[in-house]
Amino acid sequence: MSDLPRDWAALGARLDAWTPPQGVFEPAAAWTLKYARHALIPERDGAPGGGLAGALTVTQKPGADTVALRAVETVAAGFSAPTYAADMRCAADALLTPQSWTLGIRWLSGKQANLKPGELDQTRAGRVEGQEIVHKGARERRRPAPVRWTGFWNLFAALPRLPFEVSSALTFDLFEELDLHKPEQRLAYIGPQSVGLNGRTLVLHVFEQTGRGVLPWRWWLDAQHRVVLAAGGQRAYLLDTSANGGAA
Amino acid sequence: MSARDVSRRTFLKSSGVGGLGLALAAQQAPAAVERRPPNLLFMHLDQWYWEEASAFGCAHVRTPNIDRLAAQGASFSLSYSANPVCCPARACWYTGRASSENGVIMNDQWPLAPAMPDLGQWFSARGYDAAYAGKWHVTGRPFTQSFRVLTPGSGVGEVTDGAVSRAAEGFLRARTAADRPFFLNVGFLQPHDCCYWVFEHSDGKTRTRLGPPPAELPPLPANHGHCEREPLLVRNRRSERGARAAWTAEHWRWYLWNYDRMVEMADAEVGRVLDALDDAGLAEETLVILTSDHGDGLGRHGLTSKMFLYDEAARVPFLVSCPGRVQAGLRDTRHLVSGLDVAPTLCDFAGVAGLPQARGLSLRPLLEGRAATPWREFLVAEAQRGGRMLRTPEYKYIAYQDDPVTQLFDLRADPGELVNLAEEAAHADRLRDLERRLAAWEGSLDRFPLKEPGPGAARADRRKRKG
Repeated sequence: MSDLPRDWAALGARLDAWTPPQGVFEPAAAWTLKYARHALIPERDGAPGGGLAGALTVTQKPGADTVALRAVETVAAGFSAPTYAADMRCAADALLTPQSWTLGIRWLSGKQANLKPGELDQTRAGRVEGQEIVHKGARERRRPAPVRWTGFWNLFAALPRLPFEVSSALTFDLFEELDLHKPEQRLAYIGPQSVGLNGRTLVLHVFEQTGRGVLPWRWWLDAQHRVVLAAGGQRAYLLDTSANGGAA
Repeated sequence: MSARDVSRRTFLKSSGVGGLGLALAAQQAPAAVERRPPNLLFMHLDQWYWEEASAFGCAHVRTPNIDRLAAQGASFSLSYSANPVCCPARACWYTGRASSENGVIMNDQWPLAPAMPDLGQWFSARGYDAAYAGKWHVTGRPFTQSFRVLTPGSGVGEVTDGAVSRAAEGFLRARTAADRPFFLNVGFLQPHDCCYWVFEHSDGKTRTRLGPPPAELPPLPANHGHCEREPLLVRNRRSERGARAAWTAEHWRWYLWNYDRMVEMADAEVGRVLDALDDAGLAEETLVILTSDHGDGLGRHGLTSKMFLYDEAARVPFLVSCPGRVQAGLRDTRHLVSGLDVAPTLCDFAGVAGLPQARGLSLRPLLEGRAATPWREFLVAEAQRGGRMLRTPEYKYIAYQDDPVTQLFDLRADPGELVNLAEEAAHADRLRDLERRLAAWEGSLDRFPLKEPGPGAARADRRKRKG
């Protein structure tokens, strides 16, 4: 495992039973991909550690002029953990920029939390209106829309549409969970890289993303442009090939 | 005091506000004569270096949300952790007592004095809805016994700080005017993930070169070098992860760059909570405190992490906001503030009795603009077992039990703490004076009898590290 690139090595034993995706993937078609969410916490000596920290499912449904995206992310957070379900209508541009959305936040809490049922649950919504992003709530919150922007979940559908070319670099502002603003992002194609896993060698294509408020992300795509692994500083999303059936 | 007692009190009657504070209250909240005590929102980051925000002049980060809080309230630049490591610092916040008194002198191994009340219990018993989201880390006191816990988060900021801010957001957006006042605590992990960056690069090799080109990395700090005479504990801190000795200047600068990004992560989460407070219409009825348990070495003195008493670890940001009650845009560079002041300040604004034998001071007079308020001439911080720092506005004295090396710094001439004056004859009288003050402070403590940690301590530490 020591020869693995950092993002893969950091997953440690989680890769023992992992197999690469099979089957056809068409970036612009309808698809659903499931990911295991991991914490990448090294031991004090740098050895891989961490563990499963939730799950993410992204579903794309292309329309005539727009793309519908649904992202469902569960965050493992001890005895009280949220699941986010975002339904987005996105522009059919390179970043799949959200145009309108709803975000449901539901909590699964154990009795240790001493919460009333649904106490922390929320349904948020937003839309682009002219040059502004409008977040709806008890009060409407407006902010100027950056020239180019997208949501973190959108990148799982946007990256597959990019060519494996250095010229495909993008600059944009990022909104994690559609509200945490991380400006000055730059996403660039780095090139192909070989990854030896469980007796097989995969050739994957790597994009690197840096910007304010994020540790550098590497996006690993297979030859069919499917995001196989997204790895940041201490957080990663690994394609769950056991759950994706023929589509993956 | 009952909940009815609390809600019946009026702000002006109970505050003893005078001078500018009264003028501000009258000007900004003319209809608030019968205002009830404010809600309390106590947010803390983990391992946040005292200068690390755009509002504090740091050019390498962009922190619009922390800046917003600084602009609408007050910040203190001479603010110090009561004990710059996680568990002890937090135990001091929540009990108002020094580490030697509450028993939590180091991480994980020494539990909180069982009978000592914490702020969650204190405010719950006084009619507040005491809630907690995120990192707690006070050994020996499960926070479910003291608070309604919205979410415990995890040991990794990048993994669950978003859930922590979401929980706080959900809590705030659900509040109604009929609800009890709240005491919401939000414990973010970031930028503590920098510890994992150090672990990952512990072999001194750059496994993956990411981020901007070297020319765009932050520069090495001016005090990256070592002080000549240092206590053993500090030297050990530097050498215990030997790999850092192999770090190149670029490694250090890359570390700083990653740390900056982690602070920006935390800033976004703080912004989500502040937005929720605004959107719920609670901003003007809520006292907000934002601080950190300790700082980070950030390459100063060739160190990372905490547990030592140089300013990089011991000094922390401290911001307070409450429109109409706290002066807006106040940047206090004169008054010495301690983590022990959190509890007295919260109790004072809430109009409830202070925690028993609390050692700190309420910041309320300073926040209300009563600048002539008599204030402490020095503060003391503890570190590890037997480490002490005495800080005056001008000098810092550091001593560790059973270590012959003491340190004395003239912080006006040597803010980087590189020139140890403790052996200088010209400073002998000053040194004796500071030693005398420290001995008097030590003598005033009501110490908790400490026991050696049990055999499970090391295991508990490993579990905690893994989150």
